[in-house]
Amino acid sequence: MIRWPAFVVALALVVSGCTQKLTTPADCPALCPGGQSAFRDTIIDAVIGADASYSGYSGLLDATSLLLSNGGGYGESRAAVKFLRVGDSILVRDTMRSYTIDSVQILLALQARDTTVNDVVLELYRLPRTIDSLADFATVDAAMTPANLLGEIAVPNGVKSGGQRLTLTGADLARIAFAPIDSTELVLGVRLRAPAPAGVRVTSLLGGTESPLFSTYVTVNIADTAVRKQLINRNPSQNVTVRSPPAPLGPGILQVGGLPAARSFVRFTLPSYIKDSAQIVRATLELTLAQPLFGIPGDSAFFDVRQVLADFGPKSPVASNVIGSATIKPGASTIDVEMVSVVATWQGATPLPSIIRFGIGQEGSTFLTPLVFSTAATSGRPRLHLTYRLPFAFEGF
Amino acid sequence: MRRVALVLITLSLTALTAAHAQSSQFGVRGLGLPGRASSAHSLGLGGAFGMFDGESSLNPAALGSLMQTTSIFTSSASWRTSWNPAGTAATADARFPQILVGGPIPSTRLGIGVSYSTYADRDFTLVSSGIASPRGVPINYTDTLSSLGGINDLRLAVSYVAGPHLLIGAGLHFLTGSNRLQSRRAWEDSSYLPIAERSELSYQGIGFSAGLLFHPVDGLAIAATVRRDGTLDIQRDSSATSSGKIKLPLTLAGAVRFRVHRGIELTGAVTERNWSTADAGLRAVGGVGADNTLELNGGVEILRNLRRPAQKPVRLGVRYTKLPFLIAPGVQPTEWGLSAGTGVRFAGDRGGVDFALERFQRSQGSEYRERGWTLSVGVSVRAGGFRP
Repeated sequence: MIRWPAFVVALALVVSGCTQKLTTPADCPALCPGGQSAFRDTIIDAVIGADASYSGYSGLLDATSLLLSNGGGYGESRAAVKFLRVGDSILVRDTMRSYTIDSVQILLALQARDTTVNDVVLELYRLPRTIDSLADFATVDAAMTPANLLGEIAVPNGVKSGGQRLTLTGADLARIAFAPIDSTELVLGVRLRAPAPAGVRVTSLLGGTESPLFSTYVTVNIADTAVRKQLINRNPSQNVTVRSPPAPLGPGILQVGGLPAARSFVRFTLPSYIKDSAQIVRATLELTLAQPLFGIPGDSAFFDVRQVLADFGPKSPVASNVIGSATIKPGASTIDVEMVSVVATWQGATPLPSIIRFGIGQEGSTFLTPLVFSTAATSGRPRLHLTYRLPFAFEGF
Repeated sequence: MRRVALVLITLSLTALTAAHAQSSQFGVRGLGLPGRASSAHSLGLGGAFGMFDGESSLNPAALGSLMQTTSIFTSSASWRTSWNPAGTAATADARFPQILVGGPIPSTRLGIGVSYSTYADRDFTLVSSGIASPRGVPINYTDTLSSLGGINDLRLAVSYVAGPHLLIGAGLHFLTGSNRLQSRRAWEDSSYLPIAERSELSYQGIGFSAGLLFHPVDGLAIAATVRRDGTLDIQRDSSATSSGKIKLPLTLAGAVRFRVHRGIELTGAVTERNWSTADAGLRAVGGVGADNTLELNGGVEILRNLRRPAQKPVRLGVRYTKLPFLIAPGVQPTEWGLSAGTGVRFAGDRGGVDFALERFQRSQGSEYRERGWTLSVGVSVRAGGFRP
């Protein structure tokens, strides 16, 4: 007697417990309570006088590229590479043994090159051991004398990237022979020579797998011919780019990048109705350059905007995970950076200061050095383009 | 004992069933789609029996018709197809529109009951798309507006046997509930962030109802009720200040039940609500407005077992009602329904299941229409009791 009602009940429960499916196409605003979302667009200028540029942030040793140039818009750039010591003996069969140098090869890898200029030559010099990361352009350049020239690498026309090698053999090995005072440590200077102003980026110690390499092919003093031929490779212990001093900045200019790298700070003030109530869907930092961006044609770099956590002037800490970024290329006259995630931190119960810091992603490793109009300029001041939605009228029945 | 256990298990399973509101495009505007505080028994008769039904919450006097302490759980599932100028959609949902516990107070002429009914459902998800030009460049977007929740009616009621042919009753109604709303927009251009905004509207109100149930002669019953709901206070996100006030309607209803033949009973009901009193309040908060409603119900119940009338009867019903909340300015929306139902009793009539299946159709003009089915299942337990 009890079975069939139980079955009916169970069936009814299964049927009535179906998953709900609520989505209906809407004929808005007729069917939509609250009407349609209202989006607005506004421009907010940076706070006048509250922006500044500071330089000297990243260490010269941290660059991922070494810059070489010979004037013009590039300026003058040289590179110095200090390799690890080679030593006067080599460990073979558990014994340190003397050797005779057969040949030497120095590898430099191009990352980018101005291909509009042909017949580019890389001049390699042996610099004094006193040259280090504190050396300035004049010191390095003065040490690049004909007497110190190790050799030249003619970069084939059309080649944009890849390894370029200088090989020394026979009598040329005398140029690289070590005296006791050298402690078998090679300091290499690199200068670019070209019939017109040109620029080249070379992989540095931190630039990846093709960092400069100093290879010595030797014959070891040992009877066993199987191990007599050996190769000694040495990577750089440090490297540095030195550049001719830049021209002083005019008034109303914020510098970004360059060498030493500069960063700029800009402050905005959000209107209270946006800060409290609006939902920002797009925020674009609009910067106007004082002069078109110059660099190796086709080269690019990241222009990063970071949220300042607390205002301590040039040493203000920034949020590592809140960033807006844009790719900049030569020829640009403006820079637009989408930074809605940054602006979003200016809202809420615990807002961060509405201050941003912008800089180059590859500091010290690019010729691209934006010069941005500051709030002191008469036009082209930094500004923020906001698109936002006002609170939705949920009470709209 | 085994049978009682089975009933309890059944009730437990019922309680686990997902409770979701009745979803309809006609529940988008205003306070939503008006709920039906009726048992499955009454729904099978087109709602006409509700004024006489102690298991429904329409007439507090009807509580006196409960001869035993009774618990009733009504589950309802609905499937529909909707048409509007933006397209067509098939939707489905389920919920508990009526829960009631009541019965006589021993050694008195009083009956008492508490019920939890749906006053208005506002479950929906609307999807629309279009083109916007926030910065002068046209961009495709998709908007989604969704609401979950509704207004519930918690009724505390008493009935009194005023005479051999007359029952009277009164009820106090607490209207509570909320809508959890969300508005989202997604852009086709990834430069624009998709956004979502949430809000919760909560409702509070109090109402009062009174009714009578009169048996002038054998085979004839007359019922009448009046209900006055006060003002519904709306708060957004638990704000201390009111976001709006909406006046709720006065409800006047009457019904007659007549035995035309041994085992065949006809029931008819008419209900009027002056929802236009809410019009100003709704318009003040941006709504389209509200208008008075008239509901007509009719049903016939054919008893197949006169000794056990609740055992597999045949119930047929029809109803027509105007819906209070306009989707868009213009004609008032209406609803038609044809229903059929039956029921069984088991475990010595302590347990029961009633079924009602309704084919409904709603429309406002020719632009907004929907048709569908609603299956209602009422599970009842009569744990015993005493005659007053």
